Amino acid sequence: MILASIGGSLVWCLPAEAAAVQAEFRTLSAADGTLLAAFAEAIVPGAADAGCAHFIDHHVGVAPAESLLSLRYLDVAPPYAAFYGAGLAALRQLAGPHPDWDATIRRLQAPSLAGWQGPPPGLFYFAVRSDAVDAVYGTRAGFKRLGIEYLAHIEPETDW
Amino acid sequence: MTGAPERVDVVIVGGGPAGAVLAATLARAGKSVTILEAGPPWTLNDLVSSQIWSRRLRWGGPFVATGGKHPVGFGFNAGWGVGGAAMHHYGTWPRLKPEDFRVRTLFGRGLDWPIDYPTLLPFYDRIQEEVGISGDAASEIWRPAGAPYPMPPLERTKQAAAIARGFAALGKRVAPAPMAINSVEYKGRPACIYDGWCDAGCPIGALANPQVTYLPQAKAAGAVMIAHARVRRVIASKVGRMDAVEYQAADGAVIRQPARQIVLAASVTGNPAILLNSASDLHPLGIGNGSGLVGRYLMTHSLLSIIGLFPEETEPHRGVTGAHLISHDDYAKTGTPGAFGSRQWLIGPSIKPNDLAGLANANPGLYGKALDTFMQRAVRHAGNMIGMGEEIPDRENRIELGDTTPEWGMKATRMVHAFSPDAVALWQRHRDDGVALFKAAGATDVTASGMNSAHLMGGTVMGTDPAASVTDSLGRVHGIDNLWVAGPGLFPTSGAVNPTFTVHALALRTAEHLVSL
Repeated sequence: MILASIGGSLVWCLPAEAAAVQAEFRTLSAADGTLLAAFAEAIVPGAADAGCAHFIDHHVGVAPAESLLSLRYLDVAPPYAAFYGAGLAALRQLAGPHPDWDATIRRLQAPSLAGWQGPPPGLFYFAVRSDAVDAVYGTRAGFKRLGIEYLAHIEPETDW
Repeated sequence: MTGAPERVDVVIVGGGPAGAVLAATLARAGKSVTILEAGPPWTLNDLVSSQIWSRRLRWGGPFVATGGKHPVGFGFNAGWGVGGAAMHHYGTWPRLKPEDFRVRTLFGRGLDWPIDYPTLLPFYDRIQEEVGISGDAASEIWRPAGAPYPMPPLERTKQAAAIARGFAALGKRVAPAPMAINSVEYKGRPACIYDGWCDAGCPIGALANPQVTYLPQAKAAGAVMIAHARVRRVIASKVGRMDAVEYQAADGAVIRQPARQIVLAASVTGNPAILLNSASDLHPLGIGNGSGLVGRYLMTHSLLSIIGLFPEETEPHRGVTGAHLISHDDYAKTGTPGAFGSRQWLIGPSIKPNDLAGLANANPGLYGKALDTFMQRAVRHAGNMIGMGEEIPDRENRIELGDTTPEWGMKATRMVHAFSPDAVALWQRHRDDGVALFKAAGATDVTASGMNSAHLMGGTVMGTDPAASVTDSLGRVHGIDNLWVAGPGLFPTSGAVNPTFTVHALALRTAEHLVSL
């Protein structure tokens, strides 16, 4: 569950529910949240509806020890909001106002990327890809979508 | 400064596997024991079956920077909270081999341990009997002397069987992996149900984590666990003797816990950080750092993941996260042309769709529809195995304190690490062998990961010479009567096997010595 801003109130809900009602982003700017959702969707289809951007928005706003982002594994110094903020600013520059996501993603994967001013582009791509994979494939709903049993010992509180 | 706890016989810094063995052994012997754990007081109910939720079990303290030519992966390897890294460890418990203890003597490289395999053997055997290991000692033709395993091997999954074809085709041997996971009920703990969530912690206790092995024993014998106790330094009032440890409690209070014996079991990074942060007029370079070696000889295992797709359904999400089969056919230190060191294969670990070691990362370059197409196939047909390679200790690989004081009243910790050309060559050969083995097994779409790292070792190495090591063979810090180190930080060499079994054996040896004091 994440804490989302819906209709002026803070509500605990699933990331997908936050995405469905276009909840206001709480940590990211609206522009960054929208860009992040589109980027994640281009990497992993379904990420936007799954609420990937709202999931990130919530977990960059909590203490690092409470965060469930895979960024914890990538030895990135907190605050995590700064990582995403800088990465999204650089991505906006790279992708332009009408992104060609195929071309953009290929450039992010290249060994070097002239003019990029943010976290290492490959790391930023990998981090957002991991988030999107979590959102689409890493939940009970994601397992169901892939057609495999979840096999939980202890169920997560929700699909997340 | 507030609070004045009574002096205890032993204070143990760190509630992970080493601390748990020590606490249980000492408390059962009648010692008063307090364990100070920096992280939260997890219970088994916190072990939610989710790769996403399992991230709570990883380090949540002050940021540890990683640098050097090949930075060590810290976030994925480190633990956080009661039970430490063993709460998310996979229970793969091979023994080090006799040659791992004498690398300097036999090969002129690295360091020697101050003890040999026969010295540690009885402790391996006793831990094995108490905790329980599933395996088939006779099939492990490379296994050193020791008692047979008390439980039969884990099941051979469809995935492991598929990969084993490749080994057979290329004349390589495999054996059931020695796992600290119950294949049958053992000492009141149930058998594994092969749901593949070991990485998220095993709440049923089939996998031996400290919360189902030694911590309950410690608690029953009267040991006291204090969570959210962030130890920042060891206090000395005279040379050669420590008085207390100082920690910051959950409410921010700074407390000194006096103790007759002090054991640092706070991880490979935590122990050197505390020793270095304890610098004073009596110990200007930090406690135990007369040799300048506190923090030095940091080691990891080179890590490699091979993933491929098999014609048959493999059910890769089922099984255990560690391994179902193991191969040490290439363990000989001089067996890899152009390289030096041991290597092992861990075959057929269960693999979930997401996470750092998940199926989606078989090829991070995949995105969009191609990724989804791959995922749909991979969740039914994937197989994977993990390669680990030895790293010979290098003094320049280190844990050190930085210049800032971010949290806990301690300077920030950073790790500096580079693999040697030998380690890189060993990994490259391992990678090429792994791809060939998968292709020989009939796999397609075979990918190999980059050169990653698993496990943290060294930093407070044991030895006989105080000028060339930090502690003696029991973990006692040279020159100090009552300060001890426990955990993989003691290892002078890494071998190529998972360290947790050896951590337990060493901790038991130290604990029994402490009982005798």
